[in-house]
Amino acid sequence: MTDFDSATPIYLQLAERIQRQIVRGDLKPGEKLPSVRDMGVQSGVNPNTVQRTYRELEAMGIVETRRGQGTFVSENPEVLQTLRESLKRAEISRFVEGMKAMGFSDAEIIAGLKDHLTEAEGRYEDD
Amino acid sequence: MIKFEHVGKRYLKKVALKDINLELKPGKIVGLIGENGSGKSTTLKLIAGLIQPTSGVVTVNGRRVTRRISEHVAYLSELDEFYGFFTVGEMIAFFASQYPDFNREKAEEIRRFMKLAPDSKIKNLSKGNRGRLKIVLTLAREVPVVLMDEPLSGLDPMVRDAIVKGLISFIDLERQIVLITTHEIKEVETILDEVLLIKGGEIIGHKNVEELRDRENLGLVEWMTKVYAGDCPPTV
Amino acid sequence: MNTWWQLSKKEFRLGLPAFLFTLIGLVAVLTLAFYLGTRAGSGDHEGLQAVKAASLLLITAHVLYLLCYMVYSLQSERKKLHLWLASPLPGSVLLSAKLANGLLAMTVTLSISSAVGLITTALLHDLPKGYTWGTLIANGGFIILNIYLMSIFFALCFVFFWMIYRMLLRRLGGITSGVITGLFAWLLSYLTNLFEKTELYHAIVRWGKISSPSILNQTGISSGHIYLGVYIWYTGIAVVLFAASCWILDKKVEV
Repeated sequence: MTDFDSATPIYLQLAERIQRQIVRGDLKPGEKLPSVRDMGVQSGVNPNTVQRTYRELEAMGIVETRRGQGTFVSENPEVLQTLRESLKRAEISRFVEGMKAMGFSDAEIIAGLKDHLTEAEGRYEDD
Repeated sequence: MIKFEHVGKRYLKKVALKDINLELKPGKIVGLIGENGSGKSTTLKLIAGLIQPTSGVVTVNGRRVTRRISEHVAYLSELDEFYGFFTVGEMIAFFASQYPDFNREKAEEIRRFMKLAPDSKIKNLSKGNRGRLKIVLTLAREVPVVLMDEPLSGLDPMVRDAIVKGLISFIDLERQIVLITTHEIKEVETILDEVLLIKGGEIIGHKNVEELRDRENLGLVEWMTKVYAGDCPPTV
Repeated sequence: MNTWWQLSKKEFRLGLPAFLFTLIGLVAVLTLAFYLGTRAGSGDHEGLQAVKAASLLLITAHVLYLLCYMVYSLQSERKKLHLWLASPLPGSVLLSAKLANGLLAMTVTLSISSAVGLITTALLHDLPKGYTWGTLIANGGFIILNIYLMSIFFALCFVFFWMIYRMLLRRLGGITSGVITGLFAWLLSYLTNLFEKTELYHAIVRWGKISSPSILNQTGISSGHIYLGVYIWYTGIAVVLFAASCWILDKKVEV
């Protein structure tokens, strides 16, 4: 029912999900996150774990908790820019690691990426 | 708090538990896992005071356990037996009259969440709906200790999903400790804080589930398989 | 109070089949008696006589009513012990709710049996020798009271041995527990019998002499008088059995 990887801490996986939602714009700056319990029910996760996720995100400055009101996505543009950057890096390093593991050289990777982007250009721009 | 001190339990032909020492604190959902007959149900029944230890002492909040500990302990049995003459609504009303901590409004909320009709006769309920009713009766109590013996077993995926969601929605982790025995590890692994692994009447592992993933990169099923096979030191 | 009332309502519904069964049985026995009596004799007179005899028999049978009710009620809980025992209420409350409902059910069938006995007596103009309606009602009332007391006593004996059996069951298995409980019951009744032959027992119970109803004397059930001390003695035993049953139920019975 929940598509979490069972061998990776759930709080990290949930934090990453929320970060992606923010970068994609599904969660807007200043928007309120679901309550701990609601988020737990939505994602099928222990409320203690959700609590930990929110704490981690708060420590990273991505969300802020306002007493008695709930948890909100940060409105600080710098924080969001940093988040965007770090997700990009994370995604790229995952991709590069995979390619290197299969024995592709840097040049091959760059060339392949360029080709792919050119081929797909039309499709992505239509979005 | 639940405490086991050198607890053993012997039945006629079988040793069910051997010298168990255990302390569980509130605010957590704890899973009890292990193969059939390993002692999971026995452990829960001992906490509920429905059986007595052959040796050692079980206490809940410092009180030595007898069946009357049910004042502080809600117990969901793996058995499906009910008073068949009651309707769902009457059964809820009966529980409300018997347990001072039973919250009628919460029971109604959970009943609606579980999509149970109040006027259906219990003896005509399907297995799935009896499973749902047990959840209503157990979680509507504002009680420090909640014990659930195989709440998911034999139920179809939709009911299991509803029950797990119901657990997350209606457990009060500020005050409660929840112990669940289950075979459906995959279904509950995202909602467990801690896990106890039992084999042959002994607790051979007690772990924080997130730490297990964090430090050892293991999911529950892999960990259980490894510890059972003896590849992994049974850290307690 | 509401707790006890709701528990009692549950017990009422749990015991309802047993009650209905005895009610139907009662009607069936009386009808059968009338039918057989009418056929054997030459008309309604013999039929009524048979009904009267049957009603007296049924009244006497109530000595075992509460015991049978408790057998049914406790056996119905057998598979639901995880519900019945997972209660914060003390064993005395759990058991008293059952006993109270058993007594209620007993009162209904005992009243019917007694009424039938009185009506047939009236129709047959058949008062026992030397009795007026007034003395018959008074003596009958005394007998009914004793039937209640005996019924409660036997029921408490059964409850006690049921508890012993349930206490041993999970530890020793069904057959061994059954045998031990049986032996224990035999031993207790043997010892009680032995004790009741001693001077000490006589010293304890032989006070407060009251004369017993002459119907009982005529039939040889009583020898003319009853001691109040005997009632106190058996009340004492009943209290001990009940207290022991509650203790076992609270501390030792396993699901």
